Amino acid sequence: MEEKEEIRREAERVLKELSEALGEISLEETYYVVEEINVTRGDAEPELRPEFREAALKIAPRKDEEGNYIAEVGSWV
Amino acid sequence: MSAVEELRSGALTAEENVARYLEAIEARDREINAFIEVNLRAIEDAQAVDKKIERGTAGKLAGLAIAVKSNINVRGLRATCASKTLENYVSPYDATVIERIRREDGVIIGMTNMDEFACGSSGETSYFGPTQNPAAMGRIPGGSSSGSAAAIAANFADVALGSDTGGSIRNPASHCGVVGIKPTYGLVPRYGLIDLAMSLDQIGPLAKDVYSAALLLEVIAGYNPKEATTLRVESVDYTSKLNADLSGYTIGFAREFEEYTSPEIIREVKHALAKLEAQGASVVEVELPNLAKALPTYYLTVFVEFFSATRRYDGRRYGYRIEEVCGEEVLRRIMLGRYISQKEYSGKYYKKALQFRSLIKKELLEALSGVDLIAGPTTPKLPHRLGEEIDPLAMYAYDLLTVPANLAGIPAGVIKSGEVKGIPVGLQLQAKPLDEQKILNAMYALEGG
Amino acid sequence: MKVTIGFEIHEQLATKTKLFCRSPTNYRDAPPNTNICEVCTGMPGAKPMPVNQEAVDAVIAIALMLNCEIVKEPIYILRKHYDYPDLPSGYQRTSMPIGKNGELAGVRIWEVHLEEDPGKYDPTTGKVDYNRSGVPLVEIVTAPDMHSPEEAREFLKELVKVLRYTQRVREEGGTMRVDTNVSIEGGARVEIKNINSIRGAYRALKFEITRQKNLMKRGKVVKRETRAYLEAQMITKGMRTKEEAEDYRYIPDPDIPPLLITEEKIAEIRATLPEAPHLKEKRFIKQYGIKSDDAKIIASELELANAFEEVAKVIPPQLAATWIRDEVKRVLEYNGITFKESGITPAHLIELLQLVLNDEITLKTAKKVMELLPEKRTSPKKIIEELGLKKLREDSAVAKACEEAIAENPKAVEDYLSGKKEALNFLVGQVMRKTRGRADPAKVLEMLRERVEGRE
Repeated sequence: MEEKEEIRREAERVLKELSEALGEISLEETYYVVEEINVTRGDAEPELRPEFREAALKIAPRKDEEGNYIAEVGSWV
Repeated sequence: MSAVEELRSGALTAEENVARYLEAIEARDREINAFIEVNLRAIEDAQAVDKKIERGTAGKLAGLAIAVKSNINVRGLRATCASKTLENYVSPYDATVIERIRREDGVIIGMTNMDEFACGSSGETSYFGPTQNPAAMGRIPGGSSSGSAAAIAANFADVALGSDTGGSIRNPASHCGVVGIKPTYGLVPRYGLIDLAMSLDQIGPLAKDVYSAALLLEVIAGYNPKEATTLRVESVDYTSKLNADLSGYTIGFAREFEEYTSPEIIREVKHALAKLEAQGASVVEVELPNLAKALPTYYLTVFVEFFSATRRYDGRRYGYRIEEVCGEEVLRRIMLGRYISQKEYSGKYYKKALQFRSLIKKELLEALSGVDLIAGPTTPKLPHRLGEEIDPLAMYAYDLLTVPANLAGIPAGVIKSGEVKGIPVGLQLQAKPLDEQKILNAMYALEGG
Repeated sequence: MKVTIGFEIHEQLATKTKLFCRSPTNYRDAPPNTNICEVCTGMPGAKPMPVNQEAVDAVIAIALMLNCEIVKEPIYILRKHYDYPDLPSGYQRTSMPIGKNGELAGVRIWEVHLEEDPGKYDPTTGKVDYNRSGVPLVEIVTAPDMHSPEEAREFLKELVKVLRYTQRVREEGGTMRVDTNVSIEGGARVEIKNINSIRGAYRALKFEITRQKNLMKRGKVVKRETRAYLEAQMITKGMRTKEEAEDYRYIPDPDIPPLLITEEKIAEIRATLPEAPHLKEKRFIKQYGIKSDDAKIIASELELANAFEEVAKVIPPQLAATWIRDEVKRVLEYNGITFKESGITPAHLIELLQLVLNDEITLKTAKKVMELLPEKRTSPKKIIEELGLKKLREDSAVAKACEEAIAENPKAVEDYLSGKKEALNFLVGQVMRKTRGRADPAKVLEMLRERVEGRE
């Protein structure tokens, strides 16, 4: 906890220095370097790799026999 | 003779090639710590390639041993990102670059060490321990593709894949004295590359020589219908066009480089510039007045994108919840990202960083408009000693000269230009989008000269 | 006390593949976690594939049907961050509005978005199934323009009708999810999640309004919060209050360039849109001269309305309308299916009604055939033939049955002749029994009267 507090303090200092170094500007934002629009694909025939399921469930921390992942139970239930 | 030539001439089989690297890893990687996991099926894979070579059906990379950074998915191997978070994450799928490497019969030799989730410039933040610099023992190899660069420098593989978000290929390439290329954003598929910052990440090659770097790059580059930020470049051919004659090349050097870089490094860079001139290039001065703004721009962008990218590490489908197990630097970035992406600060940090990104991009492209290449240093200082305490901001400062290329999406390459006190120093070459060939040619000229 | 109700409605779009990957969307009968890949399970390094164009087109079509303006500026796909077991990436991808400022049945439509469905999470067991994860959804946000659960229910019914009309949403039904916000004058706005049907929305609103009124009566404050509707208990339960309200930290997804919808695209999609149900209703009344109640029922389903227009080309429209309203709807409701699902074609209906008009079968037989159409999926004539239901004309069989009935029931004949007219009905019943109902009762009555009275 104390260690996390230390990281937090350092993070605050990092943020302060970085934002001070930037200063002010008024330009359009660059969200994408690749200036494309409407990159879409057709709704072609579905694709499935059955071996994916097995590999994915193999690394699941918690699952049941039916192949469900098991997460925590809802707090409001 | 290089391994590529030996393999092509038949002087070396794929199996022999892979076996000698496995032996070298076995013998010396305890000391270097370049690999997190070695591919136990590498010999089998090499044997299969040898059969194809016999039949004459083998691909371009036939039998080459390829080390892969641990943030790239290779089905059946662990893409740990050098974090406890993904300690047990065995990839259920191949990254597109791996599919392309397999198609050309490259042999994956293992998964390399790195800074945790690529958050670092020294190779020290790995959950699996720091990597040594084989070219300057006792020093950091640089990062975050520390293991990939070290694997090449230690002669553990023919070529390696790294990723570069703000210098993560070029920085360790410089410190370890190898060739490294950060391609144009969108040229190499990112599908299967574990994110640091989606708008900046690119996969690229690290290699002993320019030819093999070019060879690996041309195999992995090109349009990928499986992702949306891919460039419409169907195929590329760099190796057949490699040319050391730089007549007609204009190369820019920015005075600001000197302002932020230690003089001993600048000295080596200037030697390299002289060599390029000797090959026919003319060197001119360019201006990059906002160079120093690139660093805060870069980090504020990374914090937000990295925070977003790490939300999936919730420990429900694989691995552990990231905040519970990650290292200090990763946690700091997540905290910062979480903080500055809050609705109330949306205009203050992230948006502002994106505005500055426009400025940096504009400035760099303008500087490039009058020249073929901009040549300069890769890092402002020499690598520190392993284990030396270093302030986060001082660590970030290593990236000052490499982040502009990522912010602008342009290609950049690094090649050894000399040594200072026995420590390699790399020359960085930046070019206009999709001008990888020019970078390769200039590096080729330096290599020969 | 004035009640104010608004909705956020989500419905799955009819595509073959998911929004950002090529996994199939038909998860209905699939075992848990089978229709999945690295993209829709949020594996490390997985990137969204380019957006499914069919889903984008579907949202544009729906927005147009809801009388929205289509946004012409770049539309970013945003990452909406929150931590929940059904959300494999820790954020949901949701578009900025594609349509704005629409209207349906007097309710303003604020925004129409495209987004991806999360997986299915059962909070009572913790089970998570990502088969549904990544299926494209349309999200429709209404203004708080409804003022009672009944009004709200009517709106949802109308909306479902329009969505079905577009043929862009999944046909199976049962995939709609509704969030509603409800407030009573003087109280805070309460959001209710986890509603899965129109009936659920109605019950949740009924319960919630009563709950809020009771609080107010006792002088307590209705606080701003998010509640869950618990279907089994038909109650709502608090999930979180305003203070804990989430900050979704929206950012444009760096992996997905924005959409830009052109005038050409809008025109192209507009050309494919069906006539809106309420307009169709009006046209039917005017063009075919049918009753307004019939028109409303016929226009409730696009395929049914289309079938009516086909039938009305051959059959007198009001007969067709009455038949559809009474008989077709009866059969559909009995089976709990839509007209499309029933497999009944306009040709079947025409054939059947012509048999009635030509007096070849009785009305009773026609109703029987109608009931069999969804199951048999063949022409009425074939069904009639198969079951031997063809109406018996005044032929030897009926005549013989009449003779027999008269011979076997001298008492009835006597009664009739002595003035008890109803005695003849008994004889009609006997004949019908002998002919297994295939004779026309009116005709039988006539034949019997002739024969009995002829004896005098």
